[in-house]
Amino acid sequence: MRYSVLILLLAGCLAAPLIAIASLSVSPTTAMDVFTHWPPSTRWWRALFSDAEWIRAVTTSMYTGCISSALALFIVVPCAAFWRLTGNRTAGVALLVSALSFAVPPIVLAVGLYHFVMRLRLFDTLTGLILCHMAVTTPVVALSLLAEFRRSSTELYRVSRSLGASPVRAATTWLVAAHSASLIAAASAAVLLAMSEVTIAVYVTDTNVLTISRKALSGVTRDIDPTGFAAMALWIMVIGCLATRAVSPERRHG
Amino acid sequence: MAERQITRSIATALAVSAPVLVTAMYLVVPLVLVVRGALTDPRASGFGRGISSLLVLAGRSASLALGAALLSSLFCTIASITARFAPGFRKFYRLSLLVLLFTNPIFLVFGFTVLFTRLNPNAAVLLASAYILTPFCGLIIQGAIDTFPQDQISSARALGDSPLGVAVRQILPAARGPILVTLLLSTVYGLGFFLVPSFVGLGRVTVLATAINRAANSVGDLAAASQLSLVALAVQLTLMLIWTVGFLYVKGTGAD
Repeated sequence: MRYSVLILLLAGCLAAPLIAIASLSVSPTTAMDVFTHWPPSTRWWRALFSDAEWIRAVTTSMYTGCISSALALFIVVPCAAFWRLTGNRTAGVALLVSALSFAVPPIVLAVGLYHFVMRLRLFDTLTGLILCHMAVTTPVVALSLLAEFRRSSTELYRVSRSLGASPVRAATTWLVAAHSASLIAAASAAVLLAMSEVTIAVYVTDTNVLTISRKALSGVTRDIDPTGFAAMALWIMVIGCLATRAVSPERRHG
Repeated sequence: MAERQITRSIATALAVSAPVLVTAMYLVVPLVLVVRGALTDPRASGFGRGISSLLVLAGRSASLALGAALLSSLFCTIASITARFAPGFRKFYRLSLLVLLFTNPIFLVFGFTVLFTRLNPNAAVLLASAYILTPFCGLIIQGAIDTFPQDQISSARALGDSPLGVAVRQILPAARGPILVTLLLSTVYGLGFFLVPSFVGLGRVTVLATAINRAANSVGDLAAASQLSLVALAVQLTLMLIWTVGFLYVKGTGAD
């Protein structure tokens, strides 16, 4: 009985803000009240699918997220594989150091990156945003692959080499056969984090590059448009479905 | 043989130089540019606030970030231990952490602005920041608590210890290191929150991040924003130093 109360309390704390977002997304008015208006309306959901700006924001965020995580994979995967397959510690340390941008307050990093894109004349451009999002995607990919590769066996690589495969081919076989799932997981996490990143996106873009974060911020500050809550409720549902798949195979004790 | 040696050296150089380049681009260059920006106008409204005002601002930011990190770590520790004993809740907890990790914080911030309208602004900011830090803390703490051997829990339970006793005497001491690391990392992360104090605090809670944001976005004074960023970095380094001394002290007493 005592545990049930504790579990209910913990679950309530975790779910309350998400329920508030869902409730705001079906509010029939623009008033930011939770559960005060009845009956619920699909007004903001309909607006979401017919609003060209929202569709542009989602497309831009997906595009920049995918490109920046692909670039992060392109840099990190060969280094991490080299570290694991050759046992070169310097490469491992260099990769860990590359994840240090996570240990700086995001707003400080955003101010620095703002200076950086201004100097490169890439402020409010897609290229600038992709480059800056790599500050988020590279640490995510590096940390997840370092953790994954550390646990993995290099048997397959050694067998491929002993059968005459070149180092590059043997490493590719090892990556594809043993780590394709973790590569996809790392890339997906990087894309999703880049899409939900706020601070850097707000600092290095303006009106030209419209991302989900930019649109959401203006949607709830300037225009008082709850369409953003419908977008967020949809986003939570999509992530919820993906996450359900991720937590389903319980590998350890239950 | 010499050719293989050269190829290996080139591969090593490439494998090391790529992450070094990333570090330079995303850590060293931005920080150098912040320092340069701060020095362009030493009398800008960042350092120009005066040392006492800056100290108050730094103290308030550090205490709010630390408070939120403590609250979040405490919640995640309780939830992770509960999840260890209740399989049904474990799945829900992991699912919630993943959903929150990938949820755009802007919407959570506005959710909290609506939920906490009648709360004291400082308390509202503390609670909202703690909630936004939850996935960050939760994933690390749950990972640490999950690796605790099930056999040891079963043995302790078979010897008559209660779940609370197992948690306090067995699991917590083993997971203390990761919990402390999480506390430090989430405090540093929390120092950078500017949306939560601006909106959930209804503009009445001024911390370093909101001052930086106001200087950069509202006033357009980049020199002041850079100066305040340097103060935020100083706060971060101080917290890291205190944490390291504390951690070494705990290790030195043999408590680990």
